[in-house]
Amino acid sequence: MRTLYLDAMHQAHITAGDGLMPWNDADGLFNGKCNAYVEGFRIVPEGATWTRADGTVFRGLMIAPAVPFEQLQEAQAAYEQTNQSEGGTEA
Amino acid sequence: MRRGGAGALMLKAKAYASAVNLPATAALNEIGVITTTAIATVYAQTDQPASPSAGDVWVKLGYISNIALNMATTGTLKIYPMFFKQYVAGAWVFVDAYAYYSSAWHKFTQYLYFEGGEYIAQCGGWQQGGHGTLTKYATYMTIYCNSSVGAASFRTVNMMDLTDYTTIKLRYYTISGINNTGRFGVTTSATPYSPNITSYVALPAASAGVTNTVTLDVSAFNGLYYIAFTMNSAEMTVQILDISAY
Repeated sequence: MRTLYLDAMHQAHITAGDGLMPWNDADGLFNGKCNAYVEGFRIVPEGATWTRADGTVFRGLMIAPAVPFEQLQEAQAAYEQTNQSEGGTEA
Repeated sequence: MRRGGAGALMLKAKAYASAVNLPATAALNEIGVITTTAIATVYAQTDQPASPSAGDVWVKLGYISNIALNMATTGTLKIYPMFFKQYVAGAWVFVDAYAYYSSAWHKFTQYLYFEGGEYIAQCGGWQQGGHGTLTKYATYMTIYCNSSVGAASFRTVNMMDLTDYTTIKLRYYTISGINNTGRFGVTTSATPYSPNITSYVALPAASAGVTNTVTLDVSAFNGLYYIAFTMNSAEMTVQILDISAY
């Protein structure tokens, strides 16, 4: 199970840091995903809320991209291509 | 405010600060837009207006909506408003809107399912995505994950273009086994299960007999996606009441 770290705006980070809250990816949603893909997501934990700029309130657990999803798909595709050709691992 | 360019339909729209400010009566098919920004021009068309000005309202026209407006003075000429957006501070933002007919105001909502109605033109209807049982009734549908399989999924028949939407919402009634493994979300997989549902909101644990609503932010998605449910637990049953996008 991968552990991610969430900031005050619920954005995901792959490394721990001051003020970041650990969160376990129990579903394996981010298995095999590159760092850029993971860090493009917002994860509102169970029991927490997040208010979007337009005032809409979302309750956790909610996992949704925080940036245009096609950017994350491109990052993941590039990662997979590199990984295939070099045999490297990141995630 | 009435709008439309040369040859366009005339659509009356007025701004109200909130739904409680809607007047007791109005003209037939009058539109009440809930906004504190004055309405400039109203564009009733399928595509987003190319060069909007502050206060402009876009009535997104499609071929299905929960309210069809008959614009003909005689005979029938129906339009189907799917949603309303207003151009405010340089961006299009969703606004609630109501239509007046049958002596009452009725709210526009883009449903993907509503109490038995599948809105096939919008999303193709609903079907199983993998294991599990989907049963359709007159005013609801149930999704059931049984103990022999332990996982189930259900989705729209067709992918839906999420480009113009920011939020999807599910209202459901708990029957049994609601233990935090239910997911409502977005995927490109025709056979969704928990790890390949791209984005989701969890159906929180609840006892039987509770009506609940969950919402998912889809503002970062552009293009075609299935709207889907997944379940990962034995003997879970949920009654789906309505699903909407806005």
